[in-house]
Amino acid sequence: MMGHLARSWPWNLPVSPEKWRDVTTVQSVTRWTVRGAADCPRARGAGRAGWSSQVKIRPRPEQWTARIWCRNRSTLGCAAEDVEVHRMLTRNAIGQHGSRSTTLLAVIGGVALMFSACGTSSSRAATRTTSSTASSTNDSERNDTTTSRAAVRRHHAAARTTTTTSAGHATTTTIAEHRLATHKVAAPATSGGAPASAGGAPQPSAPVPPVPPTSSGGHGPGGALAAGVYCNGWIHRQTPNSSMRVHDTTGGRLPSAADCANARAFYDRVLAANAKYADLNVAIANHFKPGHDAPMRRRRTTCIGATRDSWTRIIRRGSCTRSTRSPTRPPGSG
Amino acid sequence: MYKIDPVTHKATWLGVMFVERGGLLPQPGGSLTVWHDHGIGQQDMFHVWTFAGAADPFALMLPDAIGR
Repeated sequence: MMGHLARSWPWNLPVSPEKWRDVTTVQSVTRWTVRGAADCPRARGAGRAGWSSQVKIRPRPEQWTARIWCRNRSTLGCAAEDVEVHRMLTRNAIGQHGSRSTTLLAVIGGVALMFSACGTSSSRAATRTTSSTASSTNDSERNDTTTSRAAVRRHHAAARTTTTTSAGHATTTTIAEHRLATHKVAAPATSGGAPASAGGAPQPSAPVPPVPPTSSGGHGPGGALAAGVYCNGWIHRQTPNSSMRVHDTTGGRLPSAADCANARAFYDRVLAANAKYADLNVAIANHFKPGHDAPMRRRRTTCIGATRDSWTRIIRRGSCTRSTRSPTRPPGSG
Repeated sequence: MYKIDPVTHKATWLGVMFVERGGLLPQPGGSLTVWHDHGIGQQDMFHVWTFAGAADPFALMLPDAIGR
């Protein structure tokens, strides 16, 4: 493991140690992009396809920060692994040592707060920040290329701390709690793992605004409408599947008569506007393509399908379909 | 969204799905019409089930729409 990392990084990056020194002086260079997955530990092996890495170097008056992101575009949109902090270098470390071998001393599995380029909302940034923390934990544990014993001890301590805190990360719904955990853990993990430099660990690019908590059990912020019969028997609402996160800005408020009327009107308009697609041929002629509802983790098919519901059955028959476009929206539906 | 019979390959229209990524998620029917996603980083979805006899035209998933 150690040897593999040592071979694969940083030597195969376009940013050579010599280049790194240039970075510290060339103010105009702010970013490199590399293609390939060699420096993405999680991208090795069978799951390598679709991965790419990116190096971002951000100049600061007091320090230089380089971050390597590994991305996987094979999943729909921006998956959790879309932002994965792997390495962090600081100018101080480079400036102090400046040689190839000692550059490795600066290669500490850093836990950093960062923002994804995919996504605009603050909540997405926050959640990805959480994800990056958990991901970088693994990298920290694997990144044993440090040759300094003291640095190794600091590094392992940081890894243990992060691992403990991110143990509950399997549940991806308690965003606020994870975000707080990230703040609490990221700083000590980074500062503890970073070489003893005056610059210390880089700080987040921008503060992450508070994100309302999303509890497990399929309820969004403030909850969702409880199971029951509404609108004079028209809607038989079930308890949401726990694997899904519901976004209800009303917080699960009981529907009023106006809500029922509006929902009925909306439904009628959707039905009228999309009735033509009852004929699949019409849909195909209008750019309807096979798709999926939710990402399927076990099996990759043309229809990367849902999990834990009947869609899985449908999908595994090879019959799932989804339009890559939103359906025709009824007038005034927003 | 369609269900395709594996034998006859006949497609049955089940409904439509709106997809958004961030931004405003309209709820024309208040809490009756809610969005969902399947995990962090996933797109937001909103279903309207159009097949006859749907128990919940705005159910999050098909089993709920059928009335599991």
